[in-house]
Amino acid sequence: MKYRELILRGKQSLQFQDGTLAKLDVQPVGDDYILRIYFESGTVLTLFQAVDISERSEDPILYAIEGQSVDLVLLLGGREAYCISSEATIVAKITLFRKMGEEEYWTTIVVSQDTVTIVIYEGGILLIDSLFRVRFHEKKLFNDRLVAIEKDRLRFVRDDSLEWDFSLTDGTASFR
Amino acid sequence: MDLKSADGSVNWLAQYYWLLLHENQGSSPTTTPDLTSAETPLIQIAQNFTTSDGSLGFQQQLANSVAEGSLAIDLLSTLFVNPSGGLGAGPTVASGGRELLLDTNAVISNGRTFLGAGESVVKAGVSDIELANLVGKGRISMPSAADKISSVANSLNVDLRINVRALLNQGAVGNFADGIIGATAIERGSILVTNDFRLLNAVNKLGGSAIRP
Repeated sequence: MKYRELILRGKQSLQFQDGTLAKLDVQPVGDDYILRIYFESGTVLTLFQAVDISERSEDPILYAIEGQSVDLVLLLGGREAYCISSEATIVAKITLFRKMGEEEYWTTIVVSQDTVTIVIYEGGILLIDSLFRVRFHEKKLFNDRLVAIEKDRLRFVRDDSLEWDFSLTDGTASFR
Repeated sequence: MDLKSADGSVNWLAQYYWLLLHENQGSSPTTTPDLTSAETPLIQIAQNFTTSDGSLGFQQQLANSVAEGSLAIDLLSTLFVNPSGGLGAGPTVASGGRELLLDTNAVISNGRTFLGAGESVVKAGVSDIELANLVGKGRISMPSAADKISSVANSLNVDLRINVRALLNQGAVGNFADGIIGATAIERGSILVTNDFRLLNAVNKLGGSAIRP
């Protein structure tokens, strides 16, 4: 699996693996940003709470994750992750353990492997396969800091003192 | 109603509430607070959280109350600081360098690091409330550094707080606390340490000094 990190400053475009191109536009509305995706067909997809508006970044960020299907892409950044098709439809949606009002704590790490993508963010750990099926999605605390990525587990340290592991095979946590 | 506790914290709570009301109304306070029925619940809550030394067990009590839903945390988020800034305060780290004032996010992510480096670090009183709020919501475990980083009194400079807020992301939920934290750093001449780039830019623009962790 592959992903691209899109910093939404000025004009940005999204290209599907099947060659379809779409233009991205993000506009602030209240305490959120609305993401609009303009397809060549003229269709416009409007997505809410889709972009990463972490206060650590000057510009909104969007992660575009590619899977096995050439006509699909998973857009991840905000509270909602959207799987969209090159035919301008929303195929699926994943709600993260991410809340508006906590943007100063938002952090996102995307790790792409052969058949899975792991998203480690301030409030959780999300593991999806190449068909964008959720294998695991578990909560974690903001001060659970990722310290190592191993073949079958993630290693965290809570508040820089308590070590624990997250199994990538069964999605369970074990404290040391 | 007798609002005075052993360390005077409740009186300060009343004053903060009074200032908050005036700030939200866009006017400057010119008279003493009228502590009528509208404030009574706040005063009662304050008394519940005021111990003989004004600090013992404060964060845990606050966290428990937030978790139980018995504390109006958003409304009270700027109120609990006594004149000495002692609520939840721990020992000050000795340092020959300039004081660092850690934003709440920096207390969580880097508090131990700064303490370990022997830096002179403090946090604004409002950060104690934000930390307790996050613990109460199950979003963090209370950072061990929190009790070791002294809490200082929140800035009472309403104009400065408003000026800081004006430079932040309009409409964002945490702006009220960020305004206080930024103003407190500027007023004390501290270096603000924050992960929030807008707050960082705001403090630097207003003549203060702010850095990333």
